[in-house]
Amino acid sequence: MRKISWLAIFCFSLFVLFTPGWAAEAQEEEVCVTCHEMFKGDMPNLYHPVELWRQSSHKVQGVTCTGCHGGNPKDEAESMSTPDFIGKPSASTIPFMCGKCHTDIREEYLSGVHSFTSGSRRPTCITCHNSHNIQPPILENIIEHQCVSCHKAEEITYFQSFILSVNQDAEKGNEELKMLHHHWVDISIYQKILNAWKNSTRVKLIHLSELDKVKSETEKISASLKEIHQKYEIILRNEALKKKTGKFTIAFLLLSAVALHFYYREVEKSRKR
Amino acid sequence: MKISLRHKLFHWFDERVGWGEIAKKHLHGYLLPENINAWYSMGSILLALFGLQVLTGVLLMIYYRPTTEDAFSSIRSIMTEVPYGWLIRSIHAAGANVMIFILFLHMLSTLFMGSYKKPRELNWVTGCVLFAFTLGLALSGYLLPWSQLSYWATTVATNTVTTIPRWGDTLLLWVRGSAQVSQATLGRFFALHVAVLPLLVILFILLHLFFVRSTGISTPPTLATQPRKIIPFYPDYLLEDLKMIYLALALVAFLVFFYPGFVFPEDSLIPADPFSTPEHIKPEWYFLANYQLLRLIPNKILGILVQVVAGLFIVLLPFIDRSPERHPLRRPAFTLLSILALLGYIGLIYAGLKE
Repeated sequence: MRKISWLAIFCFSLFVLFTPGWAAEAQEEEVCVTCHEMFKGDMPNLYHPVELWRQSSHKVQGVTCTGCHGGNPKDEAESMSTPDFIGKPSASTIPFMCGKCHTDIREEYLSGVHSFTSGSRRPTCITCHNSHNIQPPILENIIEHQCVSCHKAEEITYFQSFILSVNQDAEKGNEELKMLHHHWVDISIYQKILNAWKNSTRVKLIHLSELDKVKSETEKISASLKEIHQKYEIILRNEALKKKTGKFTIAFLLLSAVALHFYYREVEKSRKR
Repeated sequence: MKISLRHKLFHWFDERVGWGEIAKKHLHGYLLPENINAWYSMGSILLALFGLQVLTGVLLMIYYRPTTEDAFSSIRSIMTEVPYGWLIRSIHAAGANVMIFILFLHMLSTLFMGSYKKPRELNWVTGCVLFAFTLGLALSGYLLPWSQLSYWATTVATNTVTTIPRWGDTLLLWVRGSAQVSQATLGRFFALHVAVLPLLVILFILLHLFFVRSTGISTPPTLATQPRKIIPFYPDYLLEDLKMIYLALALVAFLVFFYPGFVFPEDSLIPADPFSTPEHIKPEWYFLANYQLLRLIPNKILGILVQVVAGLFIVLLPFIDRSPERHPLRRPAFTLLSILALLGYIGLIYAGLKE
């Protein structure tokens, strides 16, 4: 009996220990998600956002409904009555809704030509990143058929391929940097520029949405990439020369050793004679 | 008959220095046993490699700056800007590794051929001291580039003295010059590496050679009759020595040109940062067995004690193993135990490398 009670305490401890994580998650979902899930059959437009959110990068990052829409996820009755709750945002409020977290991008957007476009043609964050199935900022998010209403198709392709080519050059530059690092070159300045490109500059440029601005902004990274490549080429040439010198040196030393070996044998023979 | 200027000069000096007699005694007249083999060239290889280390070390000193602010950048400049700086530094680093490897082989051949026995006890003891000094040179040289590897390897290595009861902390302060590895440590290690230890090594090389000449070089143990001493050191055996030196230099060249990552691992390319401990700090291969042993034995003091006792046993071996028999096959118990100890040592290094 005593054994059983100890076992029960042990099981309960484990339960307590591992409960908070999923309990909190369930609570977060309970109010928004559980309610919206009830509309699955009758009102699919109210259920659909839940399904889309589950495939989004926000779900992966742990950003839940309240992160964007506000509200109180713990109280079913008052869940949509808090002052910060926004049910369906208007096109003009979307940049501020997303911009609560993505502050840099909000500034880029607001200073760019897209924010000044009027009416239904005005692209907002969700035009490229979707509304609930939020996807990470990759170049493929640019949806050509939505851009062609204002831009020429070839302009869009050129913009995409331009950023993509700088992107590819930056990836290549990163590989070249690794090689330079192994040859004692001080890469700290280049690394900072490339890291900034990877983490923020690239994303900012996409949101600038004007090719001329993008081109002038990419000049800095292009100049650095050119410098990296020049240094890489020099190292490559030196490496090839080093390998040749190494082969020659080792061959010379080994052949000298063999020659000395046979010479010593001859000396030995003559001594014995 | 006309005598050339060269001969005149030679005779002028010979009358005053007597080097004809010295050359006769130590070069042509110095006879070696007929069954001498390549293992007997290890000493000459080590002498040549030490010379190479001194030469490359002096050249590195021209550009190296021993301060915590400048050390790493001066090393970077040697590797990238100074003409042939990369070659000189790579030879210095690879040469140190090959030197320690050959030193191991030299000691092992002496051990298995029983050359440490009477009357060569002092040759063995001075050899052991030289081995310790060489490891000291390697350890002190390791800090000088002031890289992440240098900094943290020295932190770990110097920390081991804290295991000594009562005086551990005082000793640590004395070794480092401050609580942490710092400029005071770098200054100490620089002085040790470029002045104190090389001078001690030269002194002990001279002592070692003196003992080798006074007792005569040991004869390889043979099951047959005693070999005759018929091979003159110069020019005959010097050819064999040169052959072995060339092979050792080929090994150095291989590491320099084709395997630089062996002497300059990833952490050695990053400047020292006392606030960022690298994930995997491992000592060089020649300290790996000691490091692994310390990890295997949970009690730190016991781990150090085992190594001190093992080291003392090796140094005092000629006074413990007093039997005159030298042939490894005629002393099977000793040979077997030595092989097992060697395999254990290699196993510890291998385990350390695999981790």
